[in-house]
Amino acid sequence: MRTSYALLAALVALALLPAIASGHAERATYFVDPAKGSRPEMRNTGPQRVVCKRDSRALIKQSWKGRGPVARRHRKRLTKLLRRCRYRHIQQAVDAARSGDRILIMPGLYKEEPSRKIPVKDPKCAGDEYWEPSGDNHTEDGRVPTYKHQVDCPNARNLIAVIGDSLLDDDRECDHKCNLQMQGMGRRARDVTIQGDRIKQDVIRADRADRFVLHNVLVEQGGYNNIDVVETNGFSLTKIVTRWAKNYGILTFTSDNGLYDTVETYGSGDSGVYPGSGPEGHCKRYGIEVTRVNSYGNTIGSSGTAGNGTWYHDNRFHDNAAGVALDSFAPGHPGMPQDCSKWTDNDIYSNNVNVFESDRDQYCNEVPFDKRRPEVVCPQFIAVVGAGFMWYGANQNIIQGNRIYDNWRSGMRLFWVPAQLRGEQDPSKQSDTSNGNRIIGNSFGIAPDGSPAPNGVDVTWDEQGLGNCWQENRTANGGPPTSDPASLPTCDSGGSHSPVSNPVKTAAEAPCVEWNPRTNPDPPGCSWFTTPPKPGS
Amino acid sequence: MRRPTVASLAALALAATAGACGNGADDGPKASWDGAPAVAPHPEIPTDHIATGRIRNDGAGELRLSVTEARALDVHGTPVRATIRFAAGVTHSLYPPRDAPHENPRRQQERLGDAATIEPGKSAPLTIAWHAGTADRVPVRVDLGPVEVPLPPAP
Repeated sequence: MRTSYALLAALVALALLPAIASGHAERATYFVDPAKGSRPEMRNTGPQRVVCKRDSRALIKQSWKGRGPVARRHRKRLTKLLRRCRYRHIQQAVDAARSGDRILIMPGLYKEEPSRKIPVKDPKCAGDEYWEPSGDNHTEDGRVPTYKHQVDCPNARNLIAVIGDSLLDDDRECDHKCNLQMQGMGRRARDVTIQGDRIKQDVIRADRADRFVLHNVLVEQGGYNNIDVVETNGFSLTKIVTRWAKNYGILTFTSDNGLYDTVETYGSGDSGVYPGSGPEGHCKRYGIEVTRVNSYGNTIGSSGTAGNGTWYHDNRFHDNAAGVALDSFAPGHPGMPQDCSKWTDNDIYSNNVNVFESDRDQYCNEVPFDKRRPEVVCPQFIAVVGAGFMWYGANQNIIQGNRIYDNWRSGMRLFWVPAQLRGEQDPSKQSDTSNGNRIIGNSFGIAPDGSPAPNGVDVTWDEQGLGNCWQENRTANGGPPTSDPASLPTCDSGGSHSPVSNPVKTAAEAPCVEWNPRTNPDPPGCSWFTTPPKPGS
Repeated sequence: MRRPTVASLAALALAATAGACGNGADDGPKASWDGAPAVAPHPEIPTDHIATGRIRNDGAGELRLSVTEARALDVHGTPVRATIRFAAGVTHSLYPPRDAPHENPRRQQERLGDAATIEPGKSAPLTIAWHAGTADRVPVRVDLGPVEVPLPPAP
């Protein structure tokens, strides 16, 4: 009988294992039901709650100076609005808000001092009911905070928390503070700066906060993420600047019906944007749209473990160590293996910034994040320096009409990730990546002015997968993309047909797992962390 | 008090058995390549080599392997700096290495290729990478702790 209880306890523990989102320990999360939600639009109606700082008036005048009618009109409108200011901190307005409210944030620097005073290990949430096992011995003694923790101690780990689901029912759906709009009232996003304390995990967390809107703000210096949207059905993140997060500029997770639009993101230790555990549209719909993102100076421009069902278009991912990653690496991500995203009309170029060099390693090793110079990027995870697209375990994605150039190692890399490497032991699933990817009508190695800007190799592929194909891609000399292997299967031919890879190619990536900036920054057999020579130099 | 004592005794007995097996007894741990490993120059680093394949547990007991015990050895038995993984491809850790726990649970070690547990008759991937040095600094075998396997010469 005792054995049965032990077995039962083990099974329960396994079932409760939380999602580990590329290293950020998250509670067990579940996909929202997309049919029950929708993407919110920016509203000009609805109750207002105005937040301001002492210097907001001066900042308005400075931002809208001049005697022209436009400047005068804005000054007048904002000055009038300022009279309605009742809050000095954004969280105060969130706490007072009801569903459908608009929080109007006047120009200023928001440090959220009352939230900062709340300890990360808030004694109010020390009880067992506030924690669930993380499945390992990391984080808080092998535990991660539950949703109840977010409800009862919202500012222990988040500077600003929008927590939508009531604990009175167990439907994991938004009950209050839904359809909340947080809007910077400055002329530019930078006029409203929300600054993290570099300790709390999230600067802004929207958790089960359906139809959440964030507009026209700069968010910086998050201890993990600047903006984190979790289990949220409907979100809109527009006209955002985000910089200098320890890991992610914007991270969304098991959320759907979402939009990233007009985002400038730079200086983060992992990725500028991360739509991970994306919508399970199974290639029938794209539940998250990412557009007009300018992502640079991060370790990776955009990444997404289980980054499913997302349409990226008209973005620029450039001057990162690597441009764009899609992967099926880590366990605990709902929606594995990755599938069904679409990339059209993006520019992926000049991703050759080496953040793995020894001087930087030394500084990053010696100085903890909260003491570092904010602008120094310390890489949190491995990335292929000099790669445009790095796809490791990606399925049924479409890359069409993109411009991929001046990435000194590879324009794109497509590699198999055996399922075992995400903790999946089922023998029938070992070849479930990377299959069915269609790379059509892109330009490789051509700068916007039409001049050659070669990638090291346009396509590096380990020759594995069913149905991967390349067709009608353009190059500067009019020939097919340069590639390893020398020829690539076309889509008309049905694409690739090998469930197994060239083993040496796949295995040649394996040593990079050993990377540890403290103990093993340059593992034998790993090419990723050396800046490739500029092609033709 | 009683249960830990019994557990300790069992652990000691297991350790003793493992030690005996490691000394070359016929029923001791054995392993071999499951098919010929692929050995080739690294596709992107001309000065490095890669060997990859699967190792099979030819013994009667479970094989518990860890990269912390693994070494690539040259013809003189001298360790050669190498990366040894029980994996056929790349993945990454759950946590950024700077923030990582000092110890990973065995389950994570096996996922990452830091460790492998191989049942009798079964196999697991093994990849070794090394800098190609002078002839006598080339690894010729991999010592995996309880077992070792030869490394075929690089082309």
